[in-house]
Amino acid sequence: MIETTDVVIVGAGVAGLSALASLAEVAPTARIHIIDNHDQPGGQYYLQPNPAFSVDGRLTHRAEAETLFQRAQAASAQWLLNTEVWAAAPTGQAGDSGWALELSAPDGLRRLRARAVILAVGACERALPFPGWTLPGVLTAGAAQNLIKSQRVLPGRRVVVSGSGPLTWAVAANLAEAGAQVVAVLEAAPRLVWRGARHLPALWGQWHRLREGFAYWRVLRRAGAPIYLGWAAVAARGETDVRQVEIARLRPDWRPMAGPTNRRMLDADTLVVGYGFTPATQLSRLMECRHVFDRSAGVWAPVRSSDMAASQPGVWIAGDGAGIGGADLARVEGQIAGLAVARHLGWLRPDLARSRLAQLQPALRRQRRFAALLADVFTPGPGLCMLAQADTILCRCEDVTLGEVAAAIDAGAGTVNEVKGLTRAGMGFCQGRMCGDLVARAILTARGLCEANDLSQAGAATPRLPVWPVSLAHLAAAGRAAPGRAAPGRSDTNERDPARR
Amino acid sequence: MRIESSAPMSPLTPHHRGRPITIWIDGEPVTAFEGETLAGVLLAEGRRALQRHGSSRARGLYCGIGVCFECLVMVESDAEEEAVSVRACVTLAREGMRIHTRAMQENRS
Repeated sequence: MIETTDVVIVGAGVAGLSALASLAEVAPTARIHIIDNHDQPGGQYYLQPNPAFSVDGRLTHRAEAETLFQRAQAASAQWLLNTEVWAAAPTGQAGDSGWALELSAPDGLRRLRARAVILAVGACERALPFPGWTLPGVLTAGAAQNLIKSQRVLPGRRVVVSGSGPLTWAVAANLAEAGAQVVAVLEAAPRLVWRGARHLPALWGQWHRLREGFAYWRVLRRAGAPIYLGWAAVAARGETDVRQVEIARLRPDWRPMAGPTNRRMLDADTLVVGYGFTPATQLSRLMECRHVFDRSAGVWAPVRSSDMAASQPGVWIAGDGAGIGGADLARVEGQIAGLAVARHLGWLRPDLARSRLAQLQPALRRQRRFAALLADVFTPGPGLCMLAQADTILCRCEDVTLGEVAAAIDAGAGTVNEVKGLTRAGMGFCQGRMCGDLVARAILTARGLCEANDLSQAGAATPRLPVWPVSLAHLAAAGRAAPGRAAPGRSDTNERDPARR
Repeated sequence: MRIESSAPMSPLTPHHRGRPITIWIDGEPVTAFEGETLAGVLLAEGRRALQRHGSSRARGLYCGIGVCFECLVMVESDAEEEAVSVRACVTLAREGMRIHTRAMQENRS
């Protein structure tokens, strides 16, 4: 089944909903499809419990979420929920910058052609390997928060929270409020106050964030949770699941210090880790948008113009999927992308577009300044990214250890792709989302380039379709429905290696 | 474990779980509530080891947002002949669902 639309928005989180609202408000006749892989819009930030599960009163951020939901619902868009985009290719007609997206939903596959694509796919948590990080009981800050917020389930009883950045505090406070014993809260960023002080101007105007942070701190103080600044969890121990967590004080370069005064072993059944986020670039890379490695934030991010246009015609990218900036920045970027697409497709006069876009620039600059602060203060330094030992698993999907990756590097593999070919690291279900950067870091370490922190020196894994697993039964059914097109997607002649561009 | 809505002094806003349902985990009946994910039910039951890869030990919920695939479990399906693997963190529990947390290893060995 092939459908056509004017604009497809991939992701119904803050950026996607904001793009939808701003686009639909200036282009009420536009045909818009919005896709999300969850059963409800909102993304992770405005995560909504399932309707069968009700919560009295307001959830955090509920009021601002309602406003955005109302604006998005007012748009006459087609909502495709529980749907993943597993491939995308240019439609390839002359003078046309359109795209064909391959969608996978529980009831089967479908194809959607669009004149413009707005990617608002968000981010996932930065993986940071350490001995024991694959034990049951080690989970990310986002996972812990989702369990509490949308399931009202505790991940454990005695919990250590280790991370860097605001989410660490939020999750620790959520856990304490929900009745877990917070054994320790570790904010890894070394010399936090000193480093933060350099960014005081960027904090101006961010009062709601400061208020929120203070509230979390108060909850933790009241719960009696020990707070360690400049410490991090360096190992989780236990036979079948977490029983103990080893913590260490960090040097200014984030390297754990040795010696008994700088190390402690805590009894805990759960370790929550959150060291920031990584943009989900699988789809934008598959679409051959140009990406660069942002050393300050430690992430790969697509290159964009000031109106969120990617390097590929017909593609705009907004929100955390283009660089980590959080909900407030995502909202502004979504607005800009929506207006830019409206202008591109002729629904908004260029002069009006120019003035509307100019109005958004101060907010954009303010939120980017704040994002730069967070990146500068909280991005883990190389010292904390090399805790893995030879038997520590880097690629969770394919069970590939650091030792196996190191052996491949010794055998001559110099890029992420070469290590992938020799070890299968990055070939599993998650398609390298977790381990891609870890393999790159192992390569840099072996070459003595670790301190430069520039993962692009190891290349990036070439994205392969499907970027999400697709059911073979669904593929077969799609093939029967459209003979000769059993494996839809890009044509081979179109394939290039984005890492080489 | 599940957080009780009625817990005294809890600053969390009260919540109401959905209708009770029964699902089967590794052959054992378990009471769950509509609207809960499989990961939520499994953790509420204290079952943290969700998946066993061929060579290594158990894994558990890790990313919680459907990205890492560490929480894959097998679900028996009426419609299809074989069980399908799903991500426990993004799959809702449904009445009568039969899930297996160790099927991956058995299938491979």
